Amino acid sequence: MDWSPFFISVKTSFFATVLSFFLGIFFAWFVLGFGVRWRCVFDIILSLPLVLPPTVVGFFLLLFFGWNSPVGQLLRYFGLRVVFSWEGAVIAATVVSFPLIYRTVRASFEQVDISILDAARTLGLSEFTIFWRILLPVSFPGCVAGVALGFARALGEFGATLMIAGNIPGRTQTIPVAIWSAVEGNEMTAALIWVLLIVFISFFILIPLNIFGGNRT
Amino acid sequence: MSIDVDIVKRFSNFTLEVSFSVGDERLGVLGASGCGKSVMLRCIAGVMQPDSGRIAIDGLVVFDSKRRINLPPQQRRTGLLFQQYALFPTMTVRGNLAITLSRARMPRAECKRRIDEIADKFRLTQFMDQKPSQLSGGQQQRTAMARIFMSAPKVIMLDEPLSALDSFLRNSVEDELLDELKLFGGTVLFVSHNRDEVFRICERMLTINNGKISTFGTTAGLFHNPETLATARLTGVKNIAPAIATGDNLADVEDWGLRIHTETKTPKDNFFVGIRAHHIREALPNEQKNCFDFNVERKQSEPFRIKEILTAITENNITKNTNSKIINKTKIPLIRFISGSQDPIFPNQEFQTTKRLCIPPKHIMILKET
Repeated sequence: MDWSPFFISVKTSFFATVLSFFLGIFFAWFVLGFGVRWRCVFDIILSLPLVLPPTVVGFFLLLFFGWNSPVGQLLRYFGLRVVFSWEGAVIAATVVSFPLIYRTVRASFEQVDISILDAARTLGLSEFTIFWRILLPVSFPGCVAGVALGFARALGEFGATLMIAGNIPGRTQTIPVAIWSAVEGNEMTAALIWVLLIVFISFFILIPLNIFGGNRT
Repeated sequence: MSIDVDIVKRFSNFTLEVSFSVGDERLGVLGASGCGKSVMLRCIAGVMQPDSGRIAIDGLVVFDSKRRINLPPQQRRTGLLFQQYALFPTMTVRGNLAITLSRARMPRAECKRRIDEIADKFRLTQFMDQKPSQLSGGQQQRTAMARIFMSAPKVIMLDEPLSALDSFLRNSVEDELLDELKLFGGTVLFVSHNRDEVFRICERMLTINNGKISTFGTTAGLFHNPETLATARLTGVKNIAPAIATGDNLADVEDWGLRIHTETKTPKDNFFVGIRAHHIREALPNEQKNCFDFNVERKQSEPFRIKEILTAITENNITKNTNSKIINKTKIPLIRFISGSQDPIFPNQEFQTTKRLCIPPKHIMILKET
């Protein structure tokens, strides 16, 4: 049996989660600086990939990175391609996991006692120090929960990945795509192995989520 | 060192509009909860922005709406002690102190020396490796004050610094706090809703009512003569009632059913009179002035004093000679405190039901409405 989908999935999810995490904490911090109204507008825009069907996300990504788009042409100029590539799978997984991380982290930022941040400001600490050494450590449980959710979502990404990265065994075929492929080819045993593996991994992802994110009485 | 404030900040339910100057002294800011005192401190510290006005700290203009000056809190050099102390929960006491030097470019040894020096001064040396959650309320407050001293502020502002503490801890922490503030020696703004704290800690005080300054003066002076209705209430005057002048030193107080002599001249326009509960005393034999018979409606024992609820036995309509329209109004009782080690009163215990008491004219306060 070819185990490449497992490694591709883990590698893709890992890079996607790291990207989403940094994008997520940055946007969560950025949005926090706005008033309620603007925060709401940003929130809707940044959360869209969460509610849109993955195929719609995939379609947008195709439009955006395809060779007919300015971005696609620019990338082509530098000899890069996103469509039907592993990088495409990372981008698809990043886009769908980003809203989960962003929303979880932003919620935990909002939980932080504002007077702690105000105290830091009156003590003369720079906004950079406040963010990295106070806000982020205090929101650590929320960040862990966000990363766990984001990783799970990236691992399970199917629709957008299939549309932009395709189904190239050994290169872009992740576990969810492999399951679909196996069922299409009537290889039910292979599909079952992948399904059990996904259930197993998901189980372990949920452990930190329960330790750090909520469920505390 | 000084603070000059002249700001306006509007909220949906009230407007904060304050203007005052304070030098090297401890100024108490006394006001009921939600009167805007905390907002004022936050505006001075720069973590909140006033709608308009001007703030200068030590002569440096940190906010001026006309000149579009609004320095960030980092550049204002104010030490703000929060009600819950706002310690950084993920750091140890040492970390909380050390982070204030994150911008200072100084050798590691010098940093350590300064941290240890402050820790020693605030008796924190043995707690340096503990997290704030492992400290008692008093230790947390010392850490917060030490952290403020580390940042070398020009002024120190305290926002209800004692209200997060248990009452048995409060007295000792208050003494420590006062020592620390004396050590600082510069401008201190002490915000509280507790008149006792303000009285003990502050040399001067101002009172805020509905977002506006009601009175401003020496603490002892304002406790002696509160001048306004709001300040009288905030300084704990228990008996306050509207009055009408019926002579140069004579006032009718319909709520109490009394016509009383005052030492201070009574004003022509509307005013209130106030008498502290412990100033009402038993009448001397043959004493006439401001002596009345009272019904003792209730008598309650408090730990170190006895509280009497009194209504005057006088005609209901004392002001029938004036133009008053209110007739047969129910009298509002007066409250009297008798201090000293008296035997406690138990419920259902018999007590003397009528008494002749004196309201000394020199203790009657004449109060303006605003």
